Amino acid sequence: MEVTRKLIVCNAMSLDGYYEGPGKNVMDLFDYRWEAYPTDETFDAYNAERLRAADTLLLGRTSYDGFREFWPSVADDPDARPLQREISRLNNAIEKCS
Amino acid sequence: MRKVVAVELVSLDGVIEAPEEWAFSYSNEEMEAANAKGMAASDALLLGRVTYEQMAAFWPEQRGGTPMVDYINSVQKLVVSTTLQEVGWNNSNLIKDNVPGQIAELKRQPGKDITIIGSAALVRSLLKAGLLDELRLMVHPVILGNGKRLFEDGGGQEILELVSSETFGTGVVSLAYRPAGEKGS
Repeated sequence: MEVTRKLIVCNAMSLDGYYEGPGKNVMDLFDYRWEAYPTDETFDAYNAERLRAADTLLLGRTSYDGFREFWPSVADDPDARPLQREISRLNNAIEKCS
Repeated sequence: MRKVVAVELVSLDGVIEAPEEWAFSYSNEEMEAANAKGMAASDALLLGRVTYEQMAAFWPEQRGGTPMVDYINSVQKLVVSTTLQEVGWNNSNLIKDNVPGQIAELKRQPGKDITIIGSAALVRSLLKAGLLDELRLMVHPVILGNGKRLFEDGGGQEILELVSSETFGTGVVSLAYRPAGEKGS
């Protein structure tokens, strides 16, 4: 059997199935996490692991624009956590198809 | 104080309508054991009108002798409805007015947990009123594409806290949440 690459969809979602808040604001999903678990890095660790296991990131136009706006500068942000800086470096380096 | 616990069979896209058509095939011994634990901890069912009418048309006709059938037919059923005049199913009582006040009073009485099954509108209103103690979602690995959802568009934001989770062999994930009140408090 031919071995093909796997296409894995990874989405953050609210309990009622939304992946963005009012006004198309995706940060609504993350506000709560930061407030309640300021030191918890499980979510970042999972995302970093997914990116390390991939060599192509496939994004729709809207997500691509959102990623391009948010991630490039995080790598050099001294206030960002080390894991987030790693995610930024991984996102900057990985081949992106949009 | 007695807890009000809502148990909901939901699809991946949040649909709760007609679970007999898509959920029951995922049931297995582990899930029946989890159900038995829930039944042992509860001595009353709290139901909305629609769910009550569906259950009252089904369960009394089922042959007794299994724990599930005997439990559901004999347990106290509290039915929230402003339109029903009477509830004929064994051990059923109507809650017609001052629903939040009456449910708050039930919680203060001695007894075991009060279980809600289905009854989406009731679950949403009790969640808003701060009277729901636990929301147990049994998430089934199927996207239904249409049907009535547990949470409606425009319902507003509610923060919940994950209490526990359990994965069953058939791919159903049970997620137990506790309403956390105001943002993160």
